[in-house]
Amino acid sequence: MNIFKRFFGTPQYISQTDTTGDSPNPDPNDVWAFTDPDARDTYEQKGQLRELEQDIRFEVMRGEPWQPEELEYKQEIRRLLREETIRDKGTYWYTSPFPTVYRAAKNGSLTIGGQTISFKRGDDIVFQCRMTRDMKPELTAPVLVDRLQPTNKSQFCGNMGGAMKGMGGKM
Amino acid sequence: MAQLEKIQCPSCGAPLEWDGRYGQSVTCSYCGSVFLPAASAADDVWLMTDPVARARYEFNNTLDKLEHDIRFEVLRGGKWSAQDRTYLEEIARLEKAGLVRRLASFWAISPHPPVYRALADGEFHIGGQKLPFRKGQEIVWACPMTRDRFDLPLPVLIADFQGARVQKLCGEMVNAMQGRMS
Repeated sequence: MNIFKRFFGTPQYISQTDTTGDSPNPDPNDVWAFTDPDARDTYEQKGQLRELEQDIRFEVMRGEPWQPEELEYKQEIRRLLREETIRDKGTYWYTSPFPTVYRAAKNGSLTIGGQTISFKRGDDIVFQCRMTRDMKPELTAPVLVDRLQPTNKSQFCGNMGGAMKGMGGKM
Repeated sequence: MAQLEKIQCPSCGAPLEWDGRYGQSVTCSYCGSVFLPAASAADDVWLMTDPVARARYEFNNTLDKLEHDIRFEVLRGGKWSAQDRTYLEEIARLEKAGLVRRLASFWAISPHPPVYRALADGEFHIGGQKLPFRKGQEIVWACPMTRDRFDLPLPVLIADFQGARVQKLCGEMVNAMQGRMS
């Protein structure tokens, strides 16, 4: 089932999500707060849960609690799920922490850090980590609104191109 | 006999000699105050290391290699210099002023210092000089070997950096050893 979810992302398959309409307020220290449970299961089955946890705790969270705007994203997703403005797309983002991808059932918006991000019916909505935001300055909040494509590649945050910096071949 | 180091009395600022042994109190011969010398920033081998980089080595059980590299290849068996500590103070000042932001990235070479990005044009004050930077440029502490490599007079590198895939120890840099290969 996880393979179907990962590759096809179709909602016909029963899937789990990182947030639900009745989720409690997010815990700033919960390392799994932004991980799709199906992704976590996949890594557990592969015997790589320890590596994933290390990656999330240090490369994604930078050894600190989740930032206020990241927690705000989760609260907004909870609100939108309750309002049935978005639903589980049945897939997750290809980079850790492997957050759930949501699909807009109707036009709407999220407000994070006083900034309003609008989306249209059919758009995909997914959490974006700090490293991705550093690499894509056009992302002004921890969220990507786009029409996403399936991929069979997955990677840890610490393996992203922006995890380390240098001067190219001069070093 | 142990080599004596110069320290300052925290009460009156008088210059004192210390045998370098932590955990033993020192009495100031000028004002008579008694104090316990603590490890200073200059002694902290991890002073420049991004905690995320350190966590990577720890996870891979290679923290001792990194520590050895910092202690001997980066510090050359010595301590952080006054200019190194000035770098940290200046980057903290710029961050507080909202002129730079710490990225979720660290330098690919040990001691793997954190990388900052300029949020506006500004100047980096160090060693009596004002190094200009532009919005979007990135800033990192530069080890002595990096300074040799790029002819940097001060321990700071300001440039447009590239993503790096390979994590290296300082002793693995291309100019860690030199020879005449004719």
